Amino acid sequence: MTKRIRSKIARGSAELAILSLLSKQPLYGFEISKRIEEDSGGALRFELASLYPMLYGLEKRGWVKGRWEANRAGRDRRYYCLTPAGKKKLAPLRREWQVFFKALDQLAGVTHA
Amino acid sequence: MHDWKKFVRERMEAMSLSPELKDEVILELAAHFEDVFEEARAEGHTEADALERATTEEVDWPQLATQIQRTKQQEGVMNERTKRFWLPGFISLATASIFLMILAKVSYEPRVILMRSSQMVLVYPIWLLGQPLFGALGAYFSRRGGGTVWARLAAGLFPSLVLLAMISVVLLIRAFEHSPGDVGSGNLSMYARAIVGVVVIPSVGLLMGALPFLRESKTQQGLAGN
Repeated sequence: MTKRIRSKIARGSAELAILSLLSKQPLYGFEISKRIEEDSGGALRFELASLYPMLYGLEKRGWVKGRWEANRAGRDRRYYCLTPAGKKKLAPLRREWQVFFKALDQLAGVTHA
Repeated sequence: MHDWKKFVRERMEAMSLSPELKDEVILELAAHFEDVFEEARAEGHTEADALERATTEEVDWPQLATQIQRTKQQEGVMNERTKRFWLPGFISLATASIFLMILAKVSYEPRVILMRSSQMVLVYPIWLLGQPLFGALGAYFSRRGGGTVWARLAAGLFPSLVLLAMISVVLLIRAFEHSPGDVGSGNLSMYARAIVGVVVIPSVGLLMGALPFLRESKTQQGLAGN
């Protein structure tokens, strides 16, 4: 697999992970990285250097929107929530990945490995 | 307590964004470091260990700065300038011009307000009254677009700057068409009076309107102060 394809897969899966999380509730950067790590049992981990450019990219495309709010500790954090355009994008993105994993499963039996 | 904002700012200095946008990014990244640090402290780590954990991640800061800059500035530098200066300037110019056209349409005559010997300056008093509003519009939209104080000032004074440029061009063309002597002191005096009437006096009004928007907005003050 070329580096370009690997990078596209990594990016696409990361976007799906973030959008899925934000479809449940607004979260700020640190919470997003924690939740992704926890919910994936440590298999997925977001570094600061990849998380924020990705969030800004999603925001630029109008799929998420950031807003400063105080967290439970009273500190200002930039909470991201899904926009109507992001909600619209999430369903086809999920379908694309289902198709991708199904195809991969047929080819390599990855889900039963 | 560790100054995470300073920590990030020192490493992201190369990031070229509007001051407002840059502050916001720095604040957000600093908050991330603070959260990692606080989490480690809450888990019972010593301050030194927590500090180490927060700074463990190897970040390629120049690359991160470039990446964020590219993402945040996808419209390009030209569009940033458009947002901060050209568009606000043209809004100011357009409203000033439309107002003048309406006055001309209703046959509002200019008034002589200054007389010195036989020299006079023609002005439109009602149009002059509108200048603070035109200046305010330019400066407001420039500030909204993240313009610097100079960009806001220039956007507010844009109608006068354009008129000054037009008069200067006419004067230059006249100077090239004729020998310097032909332009004559009479003509120069006419241009000088035109500059006073349509540039200098309106500029005062434009400046009055722009002044309140040369200060940072409350949001910007909040971001810078955090």
